[in-house]
Amino acid sequence: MIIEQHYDDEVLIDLLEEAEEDTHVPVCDTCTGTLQSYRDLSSALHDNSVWDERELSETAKPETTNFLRAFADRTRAEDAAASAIVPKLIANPALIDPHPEWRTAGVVRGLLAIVDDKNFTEPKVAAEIAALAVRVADSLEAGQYPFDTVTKLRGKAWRTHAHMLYYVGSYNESIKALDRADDLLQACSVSEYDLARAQVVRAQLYNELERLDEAVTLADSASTTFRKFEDIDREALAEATKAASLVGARRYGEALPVFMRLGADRRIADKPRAFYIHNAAICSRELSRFEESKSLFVQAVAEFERLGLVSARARARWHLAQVMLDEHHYEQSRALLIELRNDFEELGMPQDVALTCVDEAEASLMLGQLAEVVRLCQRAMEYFSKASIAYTQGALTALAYLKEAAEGRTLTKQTLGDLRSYFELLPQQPHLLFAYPA
Amino acid sequence: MLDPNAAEVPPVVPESLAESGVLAGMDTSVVPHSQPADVGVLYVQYRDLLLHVACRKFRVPDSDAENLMQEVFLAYMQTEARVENTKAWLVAAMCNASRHYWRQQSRTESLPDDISDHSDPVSHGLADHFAVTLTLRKALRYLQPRCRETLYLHYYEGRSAVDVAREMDTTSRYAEKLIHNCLKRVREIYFSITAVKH
Repeated sequence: MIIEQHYDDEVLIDLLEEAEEDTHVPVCDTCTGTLQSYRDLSSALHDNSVWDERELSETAKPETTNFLRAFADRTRAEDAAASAIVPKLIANPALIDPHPEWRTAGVVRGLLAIVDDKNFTEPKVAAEIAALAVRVADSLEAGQYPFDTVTKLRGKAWRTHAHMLYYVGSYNESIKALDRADDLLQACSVSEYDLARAQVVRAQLYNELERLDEAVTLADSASTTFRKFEDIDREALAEATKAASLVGARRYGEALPVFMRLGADRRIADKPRAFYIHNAAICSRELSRFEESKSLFVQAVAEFERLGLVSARARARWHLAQVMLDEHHYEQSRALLIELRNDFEELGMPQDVALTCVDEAEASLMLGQLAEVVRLCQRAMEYFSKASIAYTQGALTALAYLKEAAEGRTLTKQTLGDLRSYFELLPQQPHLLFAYPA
Repeated sequence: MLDPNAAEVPPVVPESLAESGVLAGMDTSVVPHSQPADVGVLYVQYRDLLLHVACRKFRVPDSDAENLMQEVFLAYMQTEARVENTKAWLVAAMCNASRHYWRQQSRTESLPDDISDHSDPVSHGLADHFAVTLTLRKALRYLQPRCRETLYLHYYEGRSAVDVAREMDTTSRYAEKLIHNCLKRVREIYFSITAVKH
């Protein structure tokens, strides 16, 4: 029976057990809503907890309320006291020995907060502070804090230390620190969330070590945990870490849909989402889906611009120029590369200046305009002469060689490839000599 | 250095308060972000639900559940990450604490027979699922015993209408009607409890 063009409850309850799709419900919001509520209830009726006969006290216990409030008050007081101690301790870590009263959970939290402030700007300093946080955490008296508070704080300190060791490239030490963090956190009764955070660090580390299958498993597991805790940004980060493993394995076709989905998910914070779009564009390019790749890079550029992420925006535009090179659109690509070279000069990114020069030279070579390469080299050499960087001499030598090859009309794509490899190595090896190809 | 072959995972790795801040637009003060103004209020607000999860889903004894709940709230206060959904976070943590509880117990005594039921039934929307079961349990209290038994036989034990009819000594047509009416009735009560208008 149909009332006012909607199914009545009898029909909807019948539909619960119908295997076939009904034609009316999907187009009727009212019936869809009612059917869904019946579905939720009938599904919940399968749950044993609904039928459990035990009656539980519904009265909150004042002693628990008091205990929790006292803990919150103590934490606040400890953190306030730590804010005066932490700067002194960072200035002179040896002060922890004559000041045993500084060994508090608040000081550990304070040190970890400083690590967070410095991890991208001064990673080595941040790694030293993380090591100090571990030292203080390990010396805390567990009995002075309730439950497994101290064990968990130690686990967090070790995880942060592991992350900083990974960040500065000490991979073996990082693995050892992660093992320690895992041991500590696993001993705690509520640590699934913190363990998942350690898993993401380990997955990122394993990506570097090319232990890609293990990285995928870890990232998957972390993602499941973050989903349970409904932490959308961390779930996305775990999935992006997994997708990065797939990229490492050159499985671009599998990584692309992950990045596409994350990039389109408006629940995710803007900044990581912009990077996910950027990563999707890179995967598209690798799959030779140039139109899609360009469109995604343009989106990423717009997002980075909106967010004021200047260097990320420049890099996205550089990728876009490289897609144009792949497509043999040399004029367009070169125009963009010229703008980019100027941007990188202004941003003070000399390695990127050198690498865009190589790409620009490639576009000019393909256009048969070697005189442009000569002019480009002169300009870049002026820049490097003025720039006071450790590898100025190496860069000048390589650019001089490029200029000579263009003037002598002996420039080839192979030569440009050699130059690119050289410029990529220079920041790590500033005294590396440029070897003239035989 | 730009490696065109390498996808760039956002430079927002999960290890820091600052990064959480970057991710979520929060401040980076030393005091954990999620620490509520009054944790006591949160405890009162979520106590029933968390107790339901521990005691009814994971069969943790009442006497131990309150302690587990304290640990859950302590963990919540100590997390420096921004908690996006407090209810979901607390419920997931309570599941974690309950599983840990049984792992500890298994070292000293045998586990309950139905330990396999103690795993998470679903991962996403766990908190909402438990909230539904808690309210549904309350709604069932208002049903006539015959109605309650009908729903138990059909939905929990998975008996067919014919089976229910046999058990209740009636016709299958009437049993079918009973199943419909009782489900309809419990839905009405459920919504009167939650005051959600549909």
